[in-house]
Amino acid sequence: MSPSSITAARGPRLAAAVVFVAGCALGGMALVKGLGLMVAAFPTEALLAAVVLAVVSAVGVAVLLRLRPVRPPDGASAAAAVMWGGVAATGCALIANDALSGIWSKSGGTAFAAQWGAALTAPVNEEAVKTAGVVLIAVALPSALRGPVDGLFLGALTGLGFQTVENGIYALNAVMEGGATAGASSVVQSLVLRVGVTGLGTHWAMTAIAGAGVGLLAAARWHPNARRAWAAALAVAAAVALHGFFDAPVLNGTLVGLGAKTAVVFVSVAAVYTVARRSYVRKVRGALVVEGERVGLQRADAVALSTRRGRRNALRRVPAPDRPAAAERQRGILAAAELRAMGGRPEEEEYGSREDGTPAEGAAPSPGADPG
Amino acid sequence: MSPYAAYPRGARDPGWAPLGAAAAAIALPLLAWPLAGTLLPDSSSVPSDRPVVLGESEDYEATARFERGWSQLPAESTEGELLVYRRGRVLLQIRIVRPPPDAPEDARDLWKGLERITRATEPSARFGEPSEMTADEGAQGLKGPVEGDTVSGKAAVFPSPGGGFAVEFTATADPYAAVHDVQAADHVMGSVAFSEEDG
Repeated sequence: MSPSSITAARGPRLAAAVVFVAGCALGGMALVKGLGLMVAAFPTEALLAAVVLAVVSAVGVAVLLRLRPVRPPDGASAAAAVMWGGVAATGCALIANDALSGIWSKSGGTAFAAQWGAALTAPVNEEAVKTAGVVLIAVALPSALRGPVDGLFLGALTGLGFQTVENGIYALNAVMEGGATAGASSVVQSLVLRVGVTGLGTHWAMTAIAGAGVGLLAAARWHPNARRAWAAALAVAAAVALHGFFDAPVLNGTLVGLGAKTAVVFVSVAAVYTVARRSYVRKVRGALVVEGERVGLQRADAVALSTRRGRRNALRRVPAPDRPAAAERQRGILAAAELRAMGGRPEEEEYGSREDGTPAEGAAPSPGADPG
Repeated sequence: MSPYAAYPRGARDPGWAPLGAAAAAIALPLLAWPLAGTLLPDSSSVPSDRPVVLGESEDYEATARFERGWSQLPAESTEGELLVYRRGRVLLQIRIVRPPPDAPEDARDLWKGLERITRATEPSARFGEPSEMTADEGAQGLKGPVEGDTVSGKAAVFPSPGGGFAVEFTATADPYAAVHDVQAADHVMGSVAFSEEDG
């Protein structure tokens, strides 16, 4: 078994997977019901929005995968996060938002609902279902989410999936609000606003912050001490509050105002990222030193494995035929170090040293090689 | 080694608590809000003694008059975008559309656009040939028939004299709707008026 894998009780994992699939099925049906006729009525506009958003989303995913320190999130959890955000969370939010907006309209009148409905509806419903998806992934795939950094990036991917589909919905709504006399123009205007102006500070950023909070709890095996529990609650509350601020009827109407709102959210997630990244990289480097000692790696060589470039440089010094095996050993050392950094205890298995105890090739530069 | 190994055998598995919380976070909004919504009245009466503001731009305000008996469906309405009213078996939807700056906004284009918009909720809807219409207070627009598999009715579009927005009506009813309810929808369409905003 890989040192990075975590053996959790099968019951919660299986149940989480079932809830995940059920959520995606429910969300998918809600999306088809809510959007199917709209897409059929505006096929060209829907295609235009889908193509643009697919490209933007692909770029967003690539950037997020690259930004995660040490290594990208594993493909299965990243795909699950995007799918939850884009299918389950958006579909469930369609149902819940519709119902809660109706309550505001019925109780406070349509004028009140137009002013405050979004700010009182979306943060509650959308952050709940998006964050719930991150928790489900954490329970179903415990080795994918072991701390704040994992939570931050899986949260960001969940939010990105949500943002992508929501932008598509808004684009089609814009066609209707524009009277459907120039559909492509309405779509482009909507996308310019929602991708170009506010794209850097919406769902991906809010759910990244909430996801970091989930990661704090997951790192404590869901039994946090008071300080950690408060920090996690604060992260989720901050995501809800930022969402409320973003949707509130203040600073609207001008690009400067929207840009200011976007900047507040972006700076918030950047601050969370900076803190989480620094702590995580420090822990992983420390763990790499320990793991390196087990296989006879020098301290500097072990620490160099914490970056993508460091690992590439080490592999370049290995003869080409041996690189796949060396890369596999690197992954083993890294996985063990990440597990150790998150408080786990890697299994005592040989992943990087030869039987005679000499350092593994690729895990460290060969003697006399340029340290780069 | 399991990270959960620190917990004694027989202790409750720590995975169930977050799973329960996540399931609750998904289920509560889906169940609680619709349930709470049923406790509130679905409609509110529409005043018949004064014009109702439908929408506005910087220059013009659009209003319409409703006879007694109309009720608004607030949960289906969005202020300034879509107002939904019911009287008997007649459903009246009033849309305030704001074409993009470079978009055509004459009545013929708006009529075609409204047909597409209507198909987004009623795919069988077909708009017939519209005729020019002048509302009671002089607003110029187009009015024509709407036919669908289960409903039929009339639609009308009125561009604002100052441009920038338009008021669009779709009144549909099933075959059992009372004649006076259908006529009441015609009356609302005919009462649309654009007045210049002060200042």
